[in-house]
Amino acid sequence: MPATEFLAPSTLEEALGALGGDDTHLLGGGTALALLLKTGMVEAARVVWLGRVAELRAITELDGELRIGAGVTLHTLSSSPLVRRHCPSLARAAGLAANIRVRAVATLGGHLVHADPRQDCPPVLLACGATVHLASTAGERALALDEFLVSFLETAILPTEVLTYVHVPIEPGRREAYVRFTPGSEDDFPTVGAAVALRADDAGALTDLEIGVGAVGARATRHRPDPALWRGRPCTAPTARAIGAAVAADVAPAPDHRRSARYRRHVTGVMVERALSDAWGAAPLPGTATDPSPERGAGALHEH
Amino acid sequence: MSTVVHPSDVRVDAVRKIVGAEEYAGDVSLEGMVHACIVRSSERHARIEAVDTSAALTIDGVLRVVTAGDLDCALYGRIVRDIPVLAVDKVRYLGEPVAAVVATTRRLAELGAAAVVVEYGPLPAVVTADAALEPDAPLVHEAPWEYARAVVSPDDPPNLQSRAARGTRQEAEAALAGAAHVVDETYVTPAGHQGYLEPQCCVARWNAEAGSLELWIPNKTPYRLVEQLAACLGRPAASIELHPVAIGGDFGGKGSPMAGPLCAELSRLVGRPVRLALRYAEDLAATNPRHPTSIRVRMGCDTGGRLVGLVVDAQVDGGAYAGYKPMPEVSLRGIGHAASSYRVDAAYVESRIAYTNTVPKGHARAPGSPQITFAVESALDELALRSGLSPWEIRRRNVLRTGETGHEGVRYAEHRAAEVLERAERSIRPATAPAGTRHGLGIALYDRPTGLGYTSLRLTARADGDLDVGVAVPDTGTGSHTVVREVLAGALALDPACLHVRHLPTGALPGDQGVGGSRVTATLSSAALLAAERWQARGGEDSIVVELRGEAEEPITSYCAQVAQVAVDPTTGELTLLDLLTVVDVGTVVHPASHQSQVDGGATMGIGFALYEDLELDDGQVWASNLGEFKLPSVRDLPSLQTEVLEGGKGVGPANVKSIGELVNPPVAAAIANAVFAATGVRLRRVPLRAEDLWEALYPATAAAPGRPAVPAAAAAGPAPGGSSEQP
Amino acid sequence: MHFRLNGQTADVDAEPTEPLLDVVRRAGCTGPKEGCWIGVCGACTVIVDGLPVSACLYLAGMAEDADVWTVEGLTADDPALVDAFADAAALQCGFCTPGQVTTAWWVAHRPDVDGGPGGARSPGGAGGPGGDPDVAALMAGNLCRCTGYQAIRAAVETYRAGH
Ligand SMILES: Cc1cc2nc3c(=O)[nH]c(=O)nc-3n(C[C@H](O)[C@H](O)[C@H](O)COP(=O)(O)OP(=O)(O)OC[C@H]3O[C@@H](n4cnc5c(N)ncnc54)[C@H](O)[C@@H]3O)c2cc1C
Ligand code: FES
Ligand code: FES
Repeated sequence: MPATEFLAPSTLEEALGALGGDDTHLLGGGTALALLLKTGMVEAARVVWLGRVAELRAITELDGELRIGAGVTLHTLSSSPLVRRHCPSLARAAGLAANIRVRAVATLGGHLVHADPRQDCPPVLLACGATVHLASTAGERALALDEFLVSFLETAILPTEVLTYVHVPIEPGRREAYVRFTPGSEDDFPTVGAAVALRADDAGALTDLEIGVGAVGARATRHRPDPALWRGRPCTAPTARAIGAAVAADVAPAPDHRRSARYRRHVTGVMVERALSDAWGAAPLPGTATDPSPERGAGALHEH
Repeated sequence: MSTVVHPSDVRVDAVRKIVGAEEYAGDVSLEGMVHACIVRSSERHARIEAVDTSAALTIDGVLRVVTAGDLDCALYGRIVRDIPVLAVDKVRYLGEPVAAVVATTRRLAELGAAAVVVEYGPLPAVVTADAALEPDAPLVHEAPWEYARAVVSPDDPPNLQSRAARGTRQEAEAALAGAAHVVDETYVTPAGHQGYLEPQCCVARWNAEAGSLELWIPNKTPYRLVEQLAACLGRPAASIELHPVAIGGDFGGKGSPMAGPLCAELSRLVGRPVRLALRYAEDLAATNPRHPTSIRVRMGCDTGGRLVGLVVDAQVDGGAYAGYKPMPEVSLRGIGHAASSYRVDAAYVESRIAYTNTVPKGHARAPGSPQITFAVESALDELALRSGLSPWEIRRRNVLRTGETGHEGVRYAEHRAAEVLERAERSIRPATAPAGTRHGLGIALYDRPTGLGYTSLRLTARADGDLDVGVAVPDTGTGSHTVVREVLAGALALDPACLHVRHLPTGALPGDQGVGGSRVTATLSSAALLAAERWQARGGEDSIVVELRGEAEEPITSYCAQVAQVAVDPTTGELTLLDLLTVVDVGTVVHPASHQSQVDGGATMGIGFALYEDLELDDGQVWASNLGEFKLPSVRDLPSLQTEVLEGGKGVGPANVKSIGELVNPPVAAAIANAVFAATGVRLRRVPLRAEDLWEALYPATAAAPGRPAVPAAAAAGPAPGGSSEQP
Repeated sequence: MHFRLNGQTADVDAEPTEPLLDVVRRAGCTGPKEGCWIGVCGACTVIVDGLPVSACLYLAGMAEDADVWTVEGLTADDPALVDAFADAAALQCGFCTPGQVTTAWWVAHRPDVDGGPGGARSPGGAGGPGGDPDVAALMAGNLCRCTGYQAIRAAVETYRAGH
């Protein structure tokens, strides 16, 4: 068995030059690729590790955008003051993913290229309108994340390309939130992840609204519910509920032997509603209905 | 002799485990050692038509590919000997070993295994106990009664592994017919892996000249394993030696021979030491997980809530082989103890274990008890509701009191059920459920006898004046070696630091029965006391060996009550465990820190059983195929765990101990299910208790607006979801 | 390959695409264990350049020239770390213990804040200003099947308090 060649270029140029051959794989943190290599699901003739490419490990503020290098780890993302200031829900999502050992090495580039629909950052990046930058020896191109994500473990990247940067628009006044629903163990991928980014005018009426949903369909999806439901209104509980219902109707739950499509669709609506509530403000939304369930139960001490 | 209890001294194994110096089987590396990997069946049930090893043999470093024809050994098993070391002619479950590849490195052995091509001729498969026990079901084994020590006969239903019954069915049925209130429900539990973190592993060294075999294997019953290996390999037991290695978690899963027989054969065939280590995915798919059950409980009481009749019919999926069950009757004794805490006029308990084309099942912490306790303690709450009593009251009215003999016919020295319940009720700290969720509280009760077994122990004076203490069983983590030290130090009035406890190889001592059956602490501490006595009375010897055979004395049982408080989010069905209170009935606590750790660990394992763990074996395949899918509770999943220790009980033997390790995990699931009912009016009769099932029950698919009717359907339908009957 | 292992220079034969776990174990540090093999359990935790990683998923090539610490090295000169776990009896079978101890070291020494309580509704969470440095949130991902975590938590609290 021929040994796998392992390259650790220190510039992007070198990295690009190493691509294109058969069975050549880029390596970010390896938390996805290592498993595939170990189990023989991927056979690699050459592995090109991006960890030494310094320029891909930086987070910068540039022309009204946050430019995040593809080699930035989820740990760095979650603790970066810049990210926390300009895109707090991304910092939050990155910090909620997996465990510290995975976050310490997993890179944003690997995260996006791996394109597991259950991942935490894509819904946030979709809601915040992120763009993905790709480079090859032939040049560069930029794609909206929504176009980049294709399907389950599938993106628009070519074998000759490196994902270099993720650009996130900095929009003062954007309120954002990410909620992650893990009904079983907390140490798990979410059953549904919902991100919202919204803006309101001085009168407290919604002017912009973008939603990202993860873990439900074959890929993370972006949703822009009918403005008739929300534009020009405050984000009251009925409005949030209507938006949630619209997104729930919009998602396409992928087959999953664990949870029914009906349940995941329902929970999508609830999580969108909750993300809206979180983004709008810490207090419950005006007009929040109390739990309609009647009192019952033999040993109950309290009811809420 | 009285027992001196020391303040919690540092465990004997603490430092070496903390600094990473403890030796597990996977850390053993021998001169010339090579590595093996198993080729596993990709079919549930199939004839093996051909095995093509040629591609594997072309890989540099692959030394040998072994199939059943190369072996010189018999079927093996702990009681029933029905397990082939490698499948012969046909495979009976997905993941069954078909061949093994030995290579110079583990990676090469794995590559070799992937290159072996097996051709199968598929056969019809049965993957549930219900289907397997149908009269015309496909046969997993053609003649199971022919296996050594089988407990079935040709007259039994085709795929039966064992049948166990207690009581008289007619009497119990008659009692039920006369009951004022009856519950008739079926409760379902899944297959679950023990979740030990150390995958099964074995290192074997066959010495052809001496005709001897050495093994390093994490097995908690070393002397029995020697007998099992001797029978399987056709060798004298005296030629087999097991070296002590630490066990990286057991919970019942490390009592079977597992990798041992195959590894031994491979070492013989290649003439070198071999390490056979499983990856965790193999361990989940193909070792010996907990039995899935479907348990029908019919329970009736009179108008005063007194239990008059109980009929339990349990169908149990035993998997493809019966050989991983260690009880002579090949049953799960826990199921037989159904409702053992209560006075019932007439009880009948029957369980049938079936052969199926699924991974063979084995013992898991309190075998049978988590399943039966979930069923019976849930049913009791359902009966309480029907008879207008609170869950507390129905238990109070029916628990056995000291002096009474229960329906099992055993007269225990004491019953502290009422005290345990009372302490539980008094100790509840009301938990606050977050806004928007509904709070519920549930109770469950369990009792478990403590036994005394057989072991041996050696004390040897050291040149430096300290004492070496040789024990015959490994410490599976429970702290049993520390208990030995504590008891000896107390009895000999020595500083514990002067006692050096070590697990000795088999052969160094006369024998031991192994860890299990809630007896290790009782047995080891009694043996330690005996040793101390002999040591003080010895003549000039500087080494003594004592043997302790547990003598029949007064039977002892201990009680555990648990109170769970949950918060249920009615919009998603999400269930959060807020608090779990455990009350345990104890005799003397020899090493408090180890005792508390058993309580916390047991409660946590119970939580995993209640809420997460399911191998998802529905179609015969283990779908939860790695630890990312088969979820064990993590530190942040835990609620506050409260413990109340009810001191002053009468324990076993002179050391006066009651069992703890298997006492705490069984009642958790029922306590939580009962709390969920209290919160929502929804009765979940299947574990794990899942948010989606709860939500589905609250909002059935037929509801007009999915997910948000004004009134939850189950509550609107009244107090009898699931078709229980109310009798005049 | 060349790296620093527990403060010492290490030159070992290794395939760059094999897991670092196999390399450190071959180099004699068998404290880190193989459990789940997929990054979930933490039995294989080692510190690479100051952060805990799953050595079962960390390719050896990525550790070239890196500063790698295993439980053996972390505990060698740190009796407080050993005592914290020993005094709290924060172990049973011990298989998870090297990983727990290694992550505990990071919890006490971690240079910045990450992680945070997971719940869907927890407002701060990670990334919120000063994500909650609750021990359970930080230690999440180091599974223990035996102890029920209570004693481990106590041990980590004690050790962290001493820093
Ligand atoms: C135990 C565990 C738990 C997890 N839990 C979660 C969770 O809860 N939430 C969550 O969101 N995620 C979770 N993950 C997934 C984790 O987010 C991904 O594994 C990780 O983000 C992948 O990043 P990486 O850098 O390690 O990718 P790698 O494994 O290095 O690469 C993944 C893929 O991307 C390619 N690639 C990498 N970098 C680039 C680049 N710059 N340009 C082009 N292609 C590239 C690689 O060739 C490969 O195909 C978990 C993972 C593990 C192991
Ligand atoms: S073995 Fe590496 S995380 Fe489990
Ligand atoms: S001590 Fe056994 S897994 Fe933690």
